[in-house]
Amino acid sequence: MDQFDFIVLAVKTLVILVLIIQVVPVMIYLERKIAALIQDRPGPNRVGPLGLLQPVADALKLLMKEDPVPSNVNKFLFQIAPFLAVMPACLSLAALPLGDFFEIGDRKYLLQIADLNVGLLYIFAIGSLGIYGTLFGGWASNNKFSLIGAMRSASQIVSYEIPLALGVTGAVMMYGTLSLREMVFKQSGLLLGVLPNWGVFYQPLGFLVFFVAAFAETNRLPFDLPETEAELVAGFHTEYGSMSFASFFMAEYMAMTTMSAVMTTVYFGGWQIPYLSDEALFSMIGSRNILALIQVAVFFTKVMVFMCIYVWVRWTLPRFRFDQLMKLSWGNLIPIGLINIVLTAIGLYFWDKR
Amino acid sequence: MENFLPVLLLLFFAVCLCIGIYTVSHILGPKNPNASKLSTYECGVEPEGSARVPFKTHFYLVAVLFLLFDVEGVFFIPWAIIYRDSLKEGTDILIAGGLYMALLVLALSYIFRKRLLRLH
Amino acid sequence: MTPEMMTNLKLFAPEIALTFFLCTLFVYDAVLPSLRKTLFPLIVIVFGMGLAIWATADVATGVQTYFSGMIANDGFGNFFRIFFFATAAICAIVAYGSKELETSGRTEFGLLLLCITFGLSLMANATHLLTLYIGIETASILSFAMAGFARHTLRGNEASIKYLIFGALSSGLMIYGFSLIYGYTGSLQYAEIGKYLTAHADGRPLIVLFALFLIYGGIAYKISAFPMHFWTPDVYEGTTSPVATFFSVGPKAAGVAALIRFFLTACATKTGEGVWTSIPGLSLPNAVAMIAAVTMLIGNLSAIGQTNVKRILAYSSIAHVGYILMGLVGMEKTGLTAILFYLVAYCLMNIGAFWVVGIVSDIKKSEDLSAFRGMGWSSPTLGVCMAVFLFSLTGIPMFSGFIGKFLLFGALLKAPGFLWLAIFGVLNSVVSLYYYSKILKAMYFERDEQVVALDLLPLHRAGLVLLAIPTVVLGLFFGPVIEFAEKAVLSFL
Repeated sequence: MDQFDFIVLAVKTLVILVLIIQVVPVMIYLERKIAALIQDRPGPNRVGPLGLLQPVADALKLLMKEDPVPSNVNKFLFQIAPFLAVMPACLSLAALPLGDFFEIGDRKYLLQIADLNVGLLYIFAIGSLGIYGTLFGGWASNNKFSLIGAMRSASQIVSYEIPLALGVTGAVMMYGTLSLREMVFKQSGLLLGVLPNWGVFYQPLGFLVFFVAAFAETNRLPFDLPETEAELVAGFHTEYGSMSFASFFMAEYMAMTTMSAVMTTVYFGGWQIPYLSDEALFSMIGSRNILALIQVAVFFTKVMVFMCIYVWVRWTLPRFRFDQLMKLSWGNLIPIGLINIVLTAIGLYFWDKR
Repeated sequence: MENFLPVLLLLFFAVCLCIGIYTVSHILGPKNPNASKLSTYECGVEPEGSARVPFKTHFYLVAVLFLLFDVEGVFFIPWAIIYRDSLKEGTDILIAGGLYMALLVLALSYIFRKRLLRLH
Repeated sequence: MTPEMMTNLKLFAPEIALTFFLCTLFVYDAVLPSLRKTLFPLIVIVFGMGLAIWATADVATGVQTYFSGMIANDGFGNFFRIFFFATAAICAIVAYGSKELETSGRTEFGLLLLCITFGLSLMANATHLLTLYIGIETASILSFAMAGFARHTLRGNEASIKYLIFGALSSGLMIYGFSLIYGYTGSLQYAEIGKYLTAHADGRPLIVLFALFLIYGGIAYKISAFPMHFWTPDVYEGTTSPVATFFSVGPKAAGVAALIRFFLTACATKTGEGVWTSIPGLSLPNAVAMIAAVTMLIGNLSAIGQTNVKRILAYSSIAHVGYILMGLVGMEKTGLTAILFYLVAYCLMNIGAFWVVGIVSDIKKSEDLSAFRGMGWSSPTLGVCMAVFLFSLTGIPMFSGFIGKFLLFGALLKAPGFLWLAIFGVLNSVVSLYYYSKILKAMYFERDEQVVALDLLPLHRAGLVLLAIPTVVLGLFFGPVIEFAEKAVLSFL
């Protein structure tokens, strides 16, 4: 690969990283506005028109606040914990397909940081590293509540990793590949002439399991016992100030984005517009690059829909108790995931025989 | 290798991001430590006892069981990838997968019957 | 199902039968908790073992290694499979009669026992370092759990943790040795390692010796040979007697089998029907002789000052490993046959000795020498059987222990230049007479102040007699067993 390719690769990586980081401020705003909508109040409307500059204000405030490091913490672990949380969240973006490809001159570049042929497994593997940040934060804080919050969070994340993997195995069986790019291509066309050929219509149980597990993986309500405001102050990030706190926050939102992106890619057709195939669109527009932009826009729209669902669920449902949480994962989600695999296996056997 | 070079670049950018955040917040943020800011937070009262509470063995059990079932899930994935192609050669792969799942269902049901994941 | 897969499954049938019974026990334990206290687990285990032994006798021959070179299929392996299954069945009976194991925990004990047997079988039949590792780890990790079976006592927890830490350390060292060997020879299969080491006999870097030493260390931990014997007394003393019974026989035999297989296949070449010579530069006989001598010495000398009978037996088991390793020095079939015979005899007498200790500790609630006072007179069966076992362990003539030691010394003398080891072994046997007679003295020549009623279950009486009889009989009619062992050794890969 020559120099030009390398530069394009670097720029593409940076742009995609920045794009997905930009979801965080958007979510800060949307979270509060949608919460306000659900709770029948105005929400942020002071900073800028309709409160649209609220994220800017929040970011500036967090940047300029003091970051006190309490005196009897484990200094090294305390300071690297937020970054240990952010790093896996950033790294797992590598396999997400934002679109098909774009052209510069006569060269094609994929709208994906890396087209890994183990993309899905890579995302789960890197995502699992996110627990380290939580555990280090709770342990290093030298605070009983942080420690309890961190242990609970770790055991919750760890319990829900399994339904996450099992839920997706059904889709992997159907598509026969782990590469997210391939999965998007296999979801083109129409099912029964009416519905788009999306994964969710073939794997409703798998989607359900994955959906619930994704909520628990990101410590979002109804699974946010580790960071409940009423009980543990702020769980494992009690002792953290300004930007460290913002790092944990950012890591959580980026994990949410990754999960939503995986959901759209595996179950909802990724960057494809329903009922409009690529060729039709290309013949309408004529330029690959504009098509690429449209695909990215469609992708982000779908992701934002899921993010809004995240916020909606957060402000609607009450919280699970810790033992209810564990029972849900081990007792309900894992069996349903296994049943889904059995049903998919038998279904594929009969489907492929006919 | 070509596939993973972008991941390396992403790693580099993520590290730059983290360092950037850290540096900016250190430059821009004031530093006025006083006694109450430096002490451990416990809802406003003096912290009591050591923070290193001996934690329940329940968490350890959850971790060990996660290890077993995660490895199970990981072994499911290659089986799932070749499943559809291998179906063409007969039902061997279905039976193999069924046996594997039967062992795991046995383990899962053992956990439930013996109530190993109860918190109390 | 390719024919190769069918052969694999057929040859693995004993272990599959074992796994099937393991699953049966699982289901039984989970589904019918009310039946936990009855005989059912014992019946399942013994029946399962019988089935497995039957399956062993039935395996097809003609294939040397199966599962693509990971497991060996030869008479040697079958001998050890039968050995492990029989040992597990006997230990299940010992455990059933023991009051130390909580009645409700017997099914879990049975589960652990069956699974450890599976691991031991893998260890003894492995021809690939990874299979060896899987076998060792299955056996070890479950042994950690079994060692701590009396989990409400401090001693049990201590024994378990000590075993765990030592086991983890030696596992790590062993797998480091595996990786070094893999890096040097490019393969993890015993045969290919052997071929590579023979072909590149000169100019071999020192690191290969280091790697082989580490691998030896990992296996030595299982058989409690020097230098990895330190855990043995503490763990045996801390665990319940049935567990110590199984530990002293099962893993030792598996480790010895694994040691023989690995070092004779990878570090020696077969130069004749049942004769091996070590690769130039790796003098296996000298190394084994040194280790055997030191192990014997440590076991026997340390046992002299002990007052806890279980510790005496633990140190004696270390010493017996020393004797067993003597058989490997000659690297020919007489030595290996002697090892196999000695293992059979050792199994019987050691299980018997530990069972007696278990019974006494159930009744008198103590394992000290003082608990044995007057046992010989208050319970004749116990006394006579213990005397038989102890005499056999010492190596007094006309017991099977004597025949075993005789064969081992005989095989040793065939190899030139190891007369010193034979003399050393005899001296050590004399030393061992001292501490075994201490127990006998307490049993017969001392009187107990308070007479405690001895309620030996009929199971105990029958079992002890059934173990004592072969111990004597094998000392007189040892021909058939030796022939069987010789056939097994000759069919070694």
